[in-house]
Amino acid sequence: MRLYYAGDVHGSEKCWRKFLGAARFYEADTLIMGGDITGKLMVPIVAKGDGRHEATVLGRLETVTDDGLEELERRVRFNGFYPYRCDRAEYERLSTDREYRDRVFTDLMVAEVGRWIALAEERLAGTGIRCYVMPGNDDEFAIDGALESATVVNPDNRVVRLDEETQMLSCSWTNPTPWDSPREQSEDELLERLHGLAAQLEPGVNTIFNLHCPPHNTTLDRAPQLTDDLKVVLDGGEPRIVPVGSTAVRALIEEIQPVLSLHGHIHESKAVAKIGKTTCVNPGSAYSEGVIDGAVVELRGRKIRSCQLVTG
Amino acid sequence: MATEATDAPQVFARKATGLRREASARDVFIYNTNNQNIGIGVAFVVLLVPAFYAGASMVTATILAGLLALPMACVYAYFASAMPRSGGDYVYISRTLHPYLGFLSSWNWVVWLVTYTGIPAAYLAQYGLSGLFRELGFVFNSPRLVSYGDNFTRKWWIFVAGSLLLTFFAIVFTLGTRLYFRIQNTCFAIAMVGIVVGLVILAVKGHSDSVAGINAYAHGLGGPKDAVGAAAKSSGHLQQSGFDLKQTMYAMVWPLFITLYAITSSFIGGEVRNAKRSQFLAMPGSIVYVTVLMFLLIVGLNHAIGTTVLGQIGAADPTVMGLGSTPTYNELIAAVVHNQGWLIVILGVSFVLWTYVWLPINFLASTRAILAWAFDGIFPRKLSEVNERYHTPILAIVLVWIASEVCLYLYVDQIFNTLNGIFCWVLSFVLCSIAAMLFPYRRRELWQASPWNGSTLGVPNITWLGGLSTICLLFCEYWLWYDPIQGFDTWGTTLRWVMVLIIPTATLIYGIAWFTSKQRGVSVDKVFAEIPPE
Repeated sequence: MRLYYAGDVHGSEKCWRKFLGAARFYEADTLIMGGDITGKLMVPIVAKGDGRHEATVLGRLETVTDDGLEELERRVRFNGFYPYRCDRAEYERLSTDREYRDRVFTDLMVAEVGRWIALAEERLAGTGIRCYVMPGNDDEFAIDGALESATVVNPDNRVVRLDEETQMLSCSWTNPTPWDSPREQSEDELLERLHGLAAQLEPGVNTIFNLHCPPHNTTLDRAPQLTDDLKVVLDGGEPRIVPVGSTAVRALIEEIQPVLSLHGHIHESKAVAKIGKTTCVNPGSAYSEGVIDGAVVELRGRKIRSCQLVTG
Repeated sequence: MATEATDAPQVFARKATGLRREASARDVFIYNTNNQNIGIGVAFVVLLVPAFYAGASMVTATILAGLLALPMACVYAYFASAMPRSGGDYVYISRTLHPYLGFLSSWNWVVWLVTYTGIPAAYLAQYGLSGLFRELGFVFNSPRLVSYGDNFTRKWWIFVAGSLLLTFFAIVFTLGTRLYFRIQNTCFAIAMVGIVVGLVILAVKGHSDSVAGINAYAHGLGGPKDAVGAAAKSSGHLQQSGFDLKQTMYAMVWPLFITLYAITSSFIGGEVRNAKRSQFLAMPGSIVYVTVLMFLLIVGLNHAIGTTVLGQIGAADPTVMGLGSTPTYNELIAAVVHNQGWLIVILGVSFVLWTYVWLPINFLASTRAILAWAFDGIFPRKLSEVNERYHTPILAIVLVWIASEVCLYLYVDQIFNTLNGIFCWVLSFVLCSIAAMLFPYRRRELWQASPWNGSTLGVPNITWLGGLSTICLLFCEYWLWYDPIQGFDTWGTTLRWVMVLIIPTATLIYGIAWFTSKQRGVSVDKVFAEIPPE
């Protein structure tokens, strides 16, 4: 089996399209998206009422006519943002009514994820390529329902069979972050969740992990330490770099020793590391550049024949 | 979610995790300013230009060098903000032109980075400790310290001091880069104090005071009472002729040696906060800062000591002045204030901190490039392994340490000269500038999404800038090639072989990587290649 793994595309339409094209490009038979698929910003495109529309893109105010709307939306999506067409009255409401804004944002995310999955269906149906798409800690629960289709499988919080020889345990949850994102829990709770999932593993079957959060104190989880108000902690003027991965994830890897453990979450900590017999991979993320960082892994039975980080 | 109330529509953000980058604008500004090395830059200009480039203007050469380096610094700063990733032109060229060209450029970089990790290790003893010990010997009236100073210009003393320094930094990088950045920032602050003290001394001292001070200093170290006169005689009473543009252009290669290297923060681009602002401040901004300081120091030296005296001292046999080696500008400033021991100590110690700074920066950049190659499958994966305790790539560090020791020896044995590698190094900058010209056409969406995507006369501004940078760099290459002191005619056989072998070795390594990765199932071309999104 040859699999392509990537994660943390954060709403980048270009990265998603590349993900779907990766199977053919790298001659992989399995695609795995490891979480954090939704974007973080909504960009209102406000109709001015005279056939023109304006939006702030990357800090610049842009004005387009009706003809330029789709091109503007395409550029907004390129950066992982969600374009949202509205008139001035609705924009004012979005600015002042937080509940309404949250609802619109969530609906927008669900609709965009649905559109992505439809695109996957269009591209992958009938190709025989297996496609697994899991949410991550940043993704709201509302999108989960949109992640299933005839071709796409959401493997989150369960064990799925990839083929006759291999099973995959997946989990979108992480240990606590300073951002208090939707899918976080304490290390004890996370370990309990992971043990519950491990109980579903079939003995004697080749196992891989697809855990959004990387294991603690590996090169996969290095990031600057932050204060509660999200400022970088400095030591003598220099950022203090600390391991931010999960001890629960590490404990499970040490206990089960799967052949491969796939991770994301920490974009800047691209690395491959070993924990005992397990090869742990975090391909990193550069989604804002329209570049997808991934890993191509070839499994031969219980061994990894090759593991290559790629930038596509 | 957050919003700001203004007339222009604002964007709305939801609560989500975010990348926190480490290096601030200040960090990368210091990183690049350090790499330009004001102290050593002015030392070379003052030691060599008045003595060996008749009619050259040090001031004009320095300003030209700053101006010619600016377009290239803007190109790198642009790329660093459009593609805020670590790896420098390895990333920019690979993504814009072709992965092979990216590796070729990176390989060329690393060959010279490693060379210039070894060479500045020698500068510590050759230009730093020699002067410092002589100055301390003068202050404390100790012939033993003076003899140490003289010894530090001898081959094996230079090699041993350089080796110890290389080993020290290999250990520092093994323990982690945070320790290094602390050392860097502290040393930079002390070194800058030395520059400011030097500038103040030069501003308040007149020519006759300065010459008297140099004479008294040299006499105190065992030289004649009229050491400056002896230097004049030894140099054949070298006189400065009228302004000569051609000689000034040749002389420009020395300040270019400084100003062309304001771009090292591109190697740590993935770690820089607010890349657009920080990298523009750190690259073109630091060139302006360094050029202004070099300008002020040179004007001050011209004012206080005079170009003719500087040329005579530079061209003379230093032993006629009672000195074991030709004094740097810093030692001359110390000599001017020979009766104030504490000032001499400040000047001596602070200057030592300029002499080595290329070493750790180039060391760090080399190990990062090797790490990136190992990740990408061009070098063995083993080299990307990181020590569990310190989280540092020990194998890559050891590899660079050994190679740097070899380069240190080659320099000490006079097989390599100071500027010899710069001509070849600049070829990587040219390739990156060409990539900038083609960037909007090869990576249209990335260009459109970049912070600077305007056009002039229908041509993208980055294309204009890349073209200007290419022209400026090729102009510099001409003078680097024909420079009578360090140009191609002066290159030894070993260096010519190194230059000739860069392309074949890069091609061979890339070819082997391509073949072995193909065997494993993913060819190295695909490691970098863009997946078609449609």
